Amino acid sequence: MVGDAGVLSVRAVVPGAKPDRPRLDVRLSFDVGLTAVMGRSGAGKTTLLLTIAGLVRPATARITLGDAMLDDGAAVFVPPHRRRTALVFQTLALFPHLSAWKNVAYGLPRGPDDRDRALAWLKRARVEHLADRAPSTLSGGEAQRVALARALASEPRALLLDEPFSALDASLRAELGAELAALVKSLAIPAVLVTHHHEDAQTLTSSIIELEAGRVRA
Amino acid sequence: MSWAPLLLSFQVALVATTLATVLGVGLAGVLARARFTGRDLLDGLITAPMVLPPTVLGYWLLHVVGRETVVGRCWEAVAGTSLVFSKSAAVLAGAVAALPFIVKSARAAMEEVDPTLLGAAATLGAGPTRSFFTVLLPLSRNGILAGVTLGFARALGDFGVTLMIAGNIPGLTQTGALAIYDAVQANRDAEAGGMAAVMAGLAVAALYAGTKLVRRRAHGW
Repeated sequence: MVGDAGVLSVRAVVPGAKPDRPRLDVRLSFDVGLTAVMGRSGAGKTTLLLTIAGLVRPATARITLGDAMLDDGAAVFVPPHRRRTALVFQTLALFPHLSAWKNVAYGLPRGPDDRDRALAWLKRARVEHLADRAPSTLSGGEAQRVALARALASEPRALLLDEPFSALDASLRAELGAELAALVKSLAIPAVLVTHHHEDAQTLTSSIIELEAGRVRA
Repeated sequence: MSWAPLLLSFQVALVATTLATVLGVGLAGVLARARFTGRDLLDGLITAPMVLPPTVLGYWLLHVVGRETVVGRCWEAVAGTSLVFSKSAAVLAGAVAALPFIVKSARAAMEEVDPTLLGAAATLGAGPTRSFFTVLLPLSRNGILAGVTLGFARALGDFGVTLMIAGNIPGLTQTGALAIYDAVQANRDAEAGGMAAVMAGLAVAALYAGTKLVRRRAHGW
């Protein structure tokens, strides 16, 4: 929806506690569309997302998104708030002091019709009726939809999802997953879905990357 | 009994607490979020007024803002009068006394805020300043309010630091705490008792109101 959407390319080494065991050491490329990242806990899945978002700074890096250099490992390090890589955290991280629509409006490009635009995104996520509710009053599935609407409303150039469906039951997961896939397709941006559900990965995404001990499993 | 010193105490404490809040919340943010060498030393410096004898604190303040110091000269050049032994010095004494209460409480509250919320704010395009004001500050509001209440009560009750750097000038720097001392020395017991009752009532009322406010906010979400 915004110009220069493009391939997300990641070369990153994030050192771990022990020198011979990095938290992350990958060379990856994500095309437009949904890509699944799988692996055991501790494999580096979350670190990968945090690195792309700029919340973890790698020791060695070359990260590009479309034609934008995000991190060249030296002088260039675009801070997270300028990357436009929306991240849906595993805990969702909805702002507890803001209503659902204000959460969505938080990432909107500033303008006078904040509420209307936020409502439009809530509608796309099919939770428009929850606009004035506090996050603490939402069910898991509802909160999930609000978090997704918030991420998409910020007009990201890449979408990062950290096990967003882990707290949901199987039928709801399938339903939300299908909607997510459709939304990502309509936006034409790279989206990285971290999951540990094989079915999710196979039904929703075009490609699957497996991480093991911080590296891509061959 | 005389109301002027009590009114002065209230005014001085109000301005001192305002200054200490602005500075203290900023310092708390730095201490809670930034990583730099000397952070623990800065924390110690800010906390010291809680434990130092007022005479020691007053002594060092005199050496920072006294008439012969750089700060003192600059103040005099701009304001036309000396900083020490003025109403402004009484405010400074109150602010320094209140500051550690506000910083300690605000910092603890800020460290309680889930860091992923700040991460989320960043990925949604909020820079450090915006996320400070829109996420960190509102979510640590209760702790800040509690600290501000304590700080106000402490500034209101200051005796020693005020005496050291602002003096005990009736009508100018003689706050309630100082006036009570004078009244007791002069055997004006009824007057001292009246002022002591008002001061104690004011402090308890401030602390009570602060607790109530925090409790009400806490149920807000």
